[in-house]
Amino acid sequence: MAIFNSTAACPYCYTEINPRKLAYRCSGRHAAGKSPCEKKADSSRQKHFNDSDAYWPVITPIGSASAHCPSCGADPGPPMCPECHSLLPAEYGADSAMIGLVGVRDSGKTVLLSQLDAELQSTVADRFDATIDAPGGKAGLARALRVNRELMLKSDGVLPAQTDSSGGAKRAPAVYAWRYNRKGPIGISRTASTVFSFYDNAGEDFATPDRALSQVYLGATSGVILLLDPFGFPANRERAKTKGADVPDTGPEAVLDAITMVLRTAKGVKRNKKVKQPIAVVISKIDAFFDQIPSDHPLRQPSSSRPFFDESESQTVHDHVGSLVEQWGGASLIRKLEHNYTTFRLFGASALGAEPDYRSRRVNSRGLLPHRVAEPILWLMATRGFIPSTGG
Amino acid sequence: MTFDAAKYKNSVLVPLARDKARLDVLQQVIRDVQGTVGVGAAARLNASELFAVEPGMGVAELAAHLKGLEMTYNKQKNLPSAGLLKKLLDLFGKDKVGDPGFWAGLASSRGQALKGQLAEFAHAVAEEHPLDVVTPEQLSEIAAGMGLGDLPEADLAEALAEQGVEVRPDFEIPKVALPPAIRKVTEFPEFRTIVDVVLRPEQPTDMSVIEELAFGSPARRLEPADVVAAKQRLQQQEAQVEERARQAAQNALGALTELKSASELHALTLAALAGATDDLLRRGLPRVAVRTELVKRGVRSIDASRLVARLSASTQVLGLSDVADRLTEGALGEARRLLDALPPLDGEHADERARVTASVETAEKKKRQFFAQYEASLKSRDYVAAATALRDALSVDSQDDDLRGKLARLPPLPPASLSLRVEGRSLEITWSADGDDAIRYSVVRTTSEMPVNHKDGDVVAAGIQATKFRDDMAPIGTLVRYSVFATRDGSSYSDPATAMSVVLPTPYDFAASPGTTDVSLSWAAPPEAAGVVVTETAPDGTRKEYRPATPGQLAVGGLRTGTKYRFSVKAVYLLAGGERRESAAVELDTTPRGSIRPVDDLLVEAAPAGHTARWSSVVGFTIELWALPITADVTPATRMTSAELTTLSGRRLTLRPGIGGIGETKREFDALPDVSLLVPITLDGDGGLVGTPQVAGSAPSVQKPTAERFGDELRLSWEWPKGDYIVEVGWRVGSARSTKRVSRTSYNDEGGVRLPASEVSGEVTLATVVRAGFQEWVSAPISIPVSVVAPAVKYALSVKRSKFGGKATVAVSLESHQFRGSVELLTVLKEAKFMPNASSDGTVVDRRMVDLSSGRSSFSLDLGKVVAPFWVRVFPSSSGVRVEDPPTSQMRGQ
Repeated sequence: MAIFNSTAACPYCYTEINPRKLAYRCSGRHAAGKSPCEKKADSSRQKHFNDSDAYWPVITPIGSASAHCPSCGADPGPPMCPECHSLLPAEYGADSAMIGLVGVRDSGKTVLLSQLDAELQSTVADRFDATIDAPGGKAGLARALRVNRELMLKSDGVLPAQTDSSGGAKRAPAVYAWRYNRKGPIGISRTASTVFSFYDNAGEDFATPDRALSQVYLGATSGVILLLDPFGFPANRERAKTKGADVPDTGPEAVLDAITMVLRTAKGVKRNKKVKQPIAVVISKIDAFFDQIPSDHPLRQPSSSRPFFDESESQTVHDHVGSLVEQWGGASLIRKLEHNYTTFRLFGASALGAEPDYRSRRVNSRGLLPHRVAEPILWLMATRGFIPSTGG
Repeated sequence: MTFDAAKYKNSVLVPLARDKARLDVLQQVIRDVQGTVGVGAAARLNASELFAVEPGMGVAELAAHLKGLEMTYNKQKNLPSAGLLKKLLDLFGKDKVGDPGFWAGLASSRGQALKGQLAEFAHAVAEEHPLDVVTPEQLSEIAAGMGLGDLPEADLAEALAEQGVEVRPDFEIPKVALPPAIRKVTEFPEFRTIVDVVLRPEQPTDMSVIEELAFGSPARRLEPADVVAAKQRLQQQEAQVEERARQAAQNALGALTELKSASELHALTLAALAGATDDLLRRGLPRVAVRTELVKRGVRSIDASRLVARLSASTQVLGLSDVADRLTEGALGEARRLLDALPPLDGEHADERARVTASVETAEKKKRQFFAQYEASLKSRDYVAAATALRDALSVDSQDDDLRGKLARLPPLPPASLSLRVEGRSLEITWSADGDDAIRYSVVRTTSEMPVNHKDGDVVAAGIQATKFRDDMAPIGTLVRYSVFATRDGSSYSDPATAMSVVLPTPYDFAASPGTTDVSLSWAAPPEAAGVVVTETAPDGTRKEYRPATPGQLAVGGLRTGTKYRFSVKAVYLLAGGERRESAAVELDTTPRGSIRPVDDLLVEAAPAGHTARWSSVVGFTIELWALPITADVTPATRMTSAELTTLSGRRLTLRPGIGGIGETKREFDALPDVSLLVPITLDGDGGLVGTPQVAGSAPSVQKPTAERFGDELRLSWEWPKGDYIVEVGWRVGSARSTKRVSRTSYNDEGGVRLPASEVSGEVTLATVVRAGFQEWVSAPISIPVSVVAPAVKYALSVKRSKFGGKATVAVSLESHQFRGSVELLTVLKEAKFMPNASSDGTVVDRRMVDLSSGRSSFSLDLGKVVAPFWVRVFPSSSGVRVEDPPTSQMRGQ
């Protein structure tokens, strides 16, 4: 009966829950002859997300979709997380993916997420003939990401402000539901769906191991995207100063150390074992180094538009990025990845595509020209077998 | 009935005690009763009332009543009436008063006694009031004084009537300012009152003047209409009235004309009669004589009596000082009349009368002197001096209406500022007025001498009040003199103001019909004209005169096409004596040119300094270019004015000349700040014919255009101009040109514009597209240089390493679709985790020239013993070709 007891992380609070034992709210449509329920503040919502809005009461006992509200006899509403009481998308199941996006301050996490949010729902959805929605996209992080992109697209577009440190408070992640027809081995299509969410943390949260340990949600993630600022590599520090870009206080290796410690701790990985969660290591702001990268370099190849993940091309890019990282003085970073992670992949991406004015934090006047932004998430999805891959 | 002491006290004793006259009567009766008359004297009293004895009282009742009276009289000793009545009662004797018959006898004898009293009263009043009229107030006062205050007024009036005395209410003299003319007119014997002036020659008698102004039988009221009739009658019967009287009557009637109602006429007449009465009384005439005088003047006797009675109460007798006062006030005539009327007064000093008389005579002398000056000036026609003399005389005797009339009858000054202005076939005469509204003008036209009076010549206007006159019948081509006379009364006229002119009408219906190099002129000349002169004026000022032989038309040739010429035509007149005169000129401008047509082939091109416009020339016409908003709606071949174009937010472009081909016009103009609809206008007057418009102008170009290769793609990006634009991307695929239009939204969605790099040869262009409705305009494109990419050489590796011994080999297969020839390639080996970045990042294990003339080549290398992992990578030795790496899985050796 283990299959019925399998758990998956809630895409909102990252708590492991049993998808078959979800919570339901009273729908508010009371039964005849019964007094209607009243909306009240939900202590779980307050605890997790500082949400003090009034909600219909939660039907107890938790876990029965057929139960009616014991108070007013109303039908139950849509399913929700029994822990944080967030409404769960219909696509939510045991195979849902929680993805942590981590990186030091100013490594471009929010910018990358903002652009990724747009690409997922346009080019990626087109490429895989999928519907990728952000349920509740008008609120929370998903809404913030869209606002960020609109601001960046203006003629004098500005980069998003630094993300505040989460501290003890919670922020609702950006949750996406992906549904598409996947062809089986003998050509039979079936609908595949999943839910994945991104949690955008502040760079400061990974400045030290102590602070990184507070990001307990990472333990529940099924994959991590580690964003590294290329200006943080020793060989690029002078270049950063020349361009007016900030040199990260925390080097790439320190970030990796912090996150490795968190993941090892959260998953209880033994010293002689490697972390099994796949980690996509993305060298962001790659546009700042296009002058060093020939136009026919694999890193400058546009993303494929074919409806599968090209593992060979990804591996080629991985090798070339590794070569670049070594060239920039980051060989030890690669070694640490090899020694601590079962699966890791190097990526080069640029959410802006053209260098911004680092000092004024304004987007390049030519606009947003993103480059290979979706590759890491596609790799993670391919790793989970959700999208087809080839050439491996 | 019980005697009520309190009531008796309040109703009889107290009122009687307060009425002195009745108390006196009571005392007199007491005296009479005590005297020879006896008890019968009591008949004068109303004894029943005084003693409250009522008819029908019995003896006993009367006794009780008398007892009560006695007690009351004793009790009210402080009231004189109580004492007197008690005394009288005692005088009657107790025997008599206790008999009811005594009281009845007293009552019957009282009626007889009363008649005697009234007769006595009426006689006294008649003697005291010889005017035979008293007011009700006077009547009451006198009756009260005579102890008859308790009698009804009607009884008193009846008694007075028997004596010829009437009781009439008092009245007010209307407070109306009497015009001097009204006072003056009654000085003439013809007019006793102003009623005589109105009704002349009738002289009514027995006029009612106080309550109303009425006369005749049946009574008729005087109405304003009578005044109008009187004026007409006076004019018709001038000869029947002495001149001065007539003049005075005219003036008086003039003053009366201003009265708009019968009541106003009544008030004025009554005031005038009151004034006359007052004058008579002031002269010291007896009141009865004054009344008689008023009756003679037609006033009803009773009204005359009332007037005299009313005014005699307040009239003071005038003295010599009043004469001096009038002299000081400039009322010489009145001063003289008063002086003559004043009889020697009591206490009057003879010297004073002499002095006053001398003053009056001095003033009269002065007046005579001024009048003499007036007459002398009049003779010499020096009207200004005459007027001055009259005004001086009036300052001495301001109430002399005769002087005033003479002053009014003096001829006015001649009109000033006379001017003549010819308007076509008419002539307008204008002059200025001297501010006197009474002045009228006569205009006399003569063709020879100056007119001697206002009827000497053609009187074209008479008695007009306006200060201008238009003579539509002025003689044409003749010297004509216009004289304007001024008059106040229509009888004496000023000297004339004169001016001369000649009416020379211009030709009319002047028109021009231009040809390409000629103009046909036509006109109509006045029939009086002897001919015309046509003048041609070129733009440089040169003139030519033509004397056309054919009446009414002239063809002028040899003109320059497109040049504006001015033509004028003047009529020629021959005046009397053979003098030749020309009329004013009639002018027109005309431009010889071909037929008008709209520009339908406008071509606008970008030029270094802006734009160049070309079109097929329209001979003889100027073409303007107007820039309108791109959305403006204009219809070619229709006519539009400059105002209409401006209303459409259009603006006229400043065109610079350019060198065009034959039959072509070329103009240049500054760069337009935006995209506009350029509309050619073939000018014809204000506005012209609309040609076929073209969209032209400039839209902001994209900035920072960038073309970057990303593998097989060429990524284009740029800075968008502010505004709603589309960018057209253009590139060449071989010899064909391809374009792609990109909106801002698609640019953002796609992250720039991506073209297949293999398709693009040469440059890429970017042009800004402006769309407005169905209109579209594409700006001049800007070029983005696309760097030439070295031909690519692809290679594939097959790396093998012996697991035993570690020796490795690599087979290299080369292929190129773009490069033909030989290229030097370096094969680099790197024994490390990371592949070599450059040929220097490893060991060059092979350097060779590879012949790719066939597009393919291959070679193998023995790498010797190597440590895994290791990498093999091929690099070109120069930049002549690009070497594209295979997947890294081929490059890595395990």
